[in-house]
Amino acid sequence: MADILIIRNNCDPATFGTYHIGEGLLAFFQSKGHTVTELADAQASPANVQFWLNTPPIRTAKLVVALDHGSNTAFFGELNNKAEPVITTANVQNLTKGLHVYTFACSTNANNGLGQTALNKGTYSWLGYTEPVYVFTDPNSALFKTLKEVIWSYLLKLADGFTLETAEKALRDAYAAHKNDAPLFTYNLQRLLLRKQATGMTIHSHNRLGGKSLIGTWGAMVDWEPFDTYVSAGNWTFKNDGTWSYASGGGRWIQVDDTAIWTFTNAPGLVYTCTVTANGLKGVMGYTTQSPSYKGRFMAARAASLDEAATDLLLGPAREASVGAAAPVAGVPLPAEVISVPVLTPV
Amino acid sequence: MLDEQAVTKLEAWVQSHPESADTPFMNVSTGQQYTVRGLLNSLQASLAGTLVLNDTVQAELNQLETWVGGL
Repeated sequence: MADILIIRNNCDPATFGTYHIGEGLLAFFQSKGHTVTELADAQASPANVQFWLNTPPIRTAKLVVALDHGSNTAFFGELNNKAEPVITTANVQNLTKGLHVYTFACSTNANNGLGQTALNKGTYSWLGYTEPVYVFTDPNSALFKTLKEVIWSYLLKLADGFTLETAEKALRDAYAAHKNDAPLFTYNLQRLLLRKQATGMTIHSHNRLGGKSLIGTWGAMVDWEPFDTYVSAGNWTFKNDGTWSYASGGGRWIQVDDTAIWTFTNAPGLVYTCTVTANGLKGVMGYTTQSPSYKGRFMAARAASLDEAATDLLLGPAREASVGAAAPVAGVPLPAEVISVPVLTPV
Repeated sequence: MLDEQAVTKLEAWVQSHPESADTPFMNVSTGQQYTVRGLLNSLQASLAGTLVLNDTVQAELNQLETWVGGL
């Protein structure tokens, strides 16, 4: 089973461009700890696409990246070196229900078209274009490389566990940043549309596996004893490979069913544990050592928009520094004013 | 058809972005390939009365006008 399926045929001058947009994506996703299947060139056949997307069994669990021809009613692959519909309004339910779909293709997200049908049939999200898209045709040109970076910007965010909203903003910002470089960037941006079932989704929170996964990036708040104020603790990112990280450190994590636990390489004896739901974490933390012996509680939401905390609030209460006590573990002075950072709405 | 101001603006852009103006881009749906300089040349020829634009090129120029207006 793979997390992600990449489809990119290469059967004519137009798909030569879209094909090369996807060059390197497989290795990129793998470097982020994802399992990936790629159907490239002649492999992007209707039979192969159906094999990897039809259920049961689940062979693709989270995301489809589709770089190819498209129309209002179909996304195309390749058969006998010709463009061939592989996902259509007739089979889109079977093939993409419970998945997120990211297309760089013409017109799949037109009104009453393929993307809209998919959403009505249970696909979690469909990012596509409402009209024909444009592509540079020389993969070695500077503008082609820029376009490739723009198209990838959405995927970079999804791969790191950010929400669809964050990914969409990254994509729109990337297009807009290059609007003076060539008309293509404006053309495509004007046609871009993300359809989604809900807000706050990630490819880890909503997928064919049920979504209660710690993997991804969370915006967190912590409240150390005496339990009076949750403060922002920045972003925590949990990767497929069992490691996790935040701005000042990280460690290892495990999850069994909906319960997760993680430790710190930079704070021996400190343990966080929580219940994982599709949209949030709620748990407790503390030191198993005699000293320090802080305890606390925390919550987190799938997000990427939180600013990093000014100090390392994951390791202990900030107020200790304000009254002159030693900093918990990291030895970083913890100024009292960090208590006043904006507090998010609890999960 | 682009108005005079838009044409002037487009000419200035082509002059200041020669590499981009010559980089081909394609409408993935039609397979038609263009460059901004090529479209400008077609437009200038049309304005001079030496070329009749077909609907496809005209549609591309309409898009180009919108883009130039946003620069």
